Amino acid sequence: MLTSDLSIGQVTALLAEGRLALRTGPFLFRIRSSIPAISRGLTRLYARHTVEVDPPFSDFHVSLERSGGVRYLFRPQVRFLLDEWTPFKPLPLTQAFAMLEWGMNWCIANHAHHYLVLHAALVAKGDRALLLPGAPGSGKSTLCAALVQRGWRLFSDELALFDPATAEVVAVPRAVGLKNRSIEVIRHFAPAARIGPVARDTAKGSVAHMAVPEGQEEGGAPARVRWIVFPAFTEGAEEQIEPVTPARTMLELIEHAFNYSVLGERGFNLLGRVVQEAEGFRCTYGELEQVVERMEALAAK
Amino acid sequence: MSESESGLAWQGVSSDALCWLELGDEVLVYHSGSGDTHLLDTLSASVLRLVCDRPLTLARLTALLADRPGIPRDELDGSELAALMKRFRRLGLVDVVKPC
Repeated sequence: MLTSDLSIGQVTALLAEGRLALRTGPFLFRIRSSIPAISRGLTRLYARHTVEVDPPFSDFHVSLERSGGVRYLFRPQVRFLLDEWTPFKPLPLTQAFAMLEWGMNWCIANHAHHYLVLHAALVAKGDRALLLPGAPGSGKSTLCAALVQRGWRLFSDELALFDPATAEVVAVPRAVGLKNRSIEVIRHFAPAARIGPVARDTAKGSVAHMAVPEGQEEGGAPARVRWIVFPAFTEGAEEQIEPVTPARTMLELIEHAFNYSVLGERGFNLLGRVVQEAEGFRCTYGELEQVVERMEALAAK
Repeated sequence: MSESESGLAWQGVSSDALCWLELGDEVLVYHSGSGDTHLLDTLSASVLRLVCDRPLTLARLTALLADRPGIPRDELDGSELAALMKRFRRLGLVDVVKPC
């Protein structure tokens, strides 16, 4: 069943009872929340994703609840729970949907140790994937959103999941997080992109999420990473791309890994295989259209 | 008295604790004891491999390296080797022992 098979009333009721689970790639998130922004966000940005009602098993049970106390009236807040645990401080209620997105990322990054998880955007052409590792502000999500709007397959804008057995990457197609100027940049770059409401004054500034393009919600087959590009957005910069040696590429990937130390030698062998199969580059850019063309050219070689 | 002057030997960690990956003229080594991954050039990698095989004094290490193909003699400076061993020691990759 897809989210769009349910009315917003049904989604709201099922979420309030904690009976609805969202499938994203290999993970099933059972979500409980009575906050209207959560049901609105899911119906708008995850309309074509698979959902299950009362599944016998879910990977994660998450809840978003309004905080109690006096704040409830004056400065309403939302808190995120994994099972009965609250890993984060509460946020303003207006950031509820963004908190769900961040919370789901946190669940995967901190618990899915059967994968090597990298902080990176990931897109693909067929079975050949482009990995975009980067710190916040590097422009990886913006570039990822732009490439997806030009027909690249979305794996994730935040988490690259490598299967240690095969060295393949698996897709976790979720709404792409856009921050601050990127929101307008993508609206201008792809006017047809479906972008949700903007949450302002978050820890990351203004945040909005772009829906997964239609037809990509299931994620599709795994892929192998063929290009590793470390993006660095600099306002007004000339586009520049230079190769990075496999060893240095690997060291940088380790820096971007959430659970390399958990996997130990398996993680080392896995990343070794990845960098030997891929070409590594560092790419400075100031103009989105230019860098998108560069990535297209890389894939066409 | 420094290790280099005292005639003490350098012993690398057990080979089982290291995992190697050669990528062109750069070498990565994963140390399971610390969980760290180190990037080495070929000379440093040769040095670490030798002292992981058995304890070696700096003099013996220099002689063994000189016999190896592909390592220019001008890179076998005693003080640089001593500095390299100290860096390895700080990283937990080698320790000082009495020579056999």
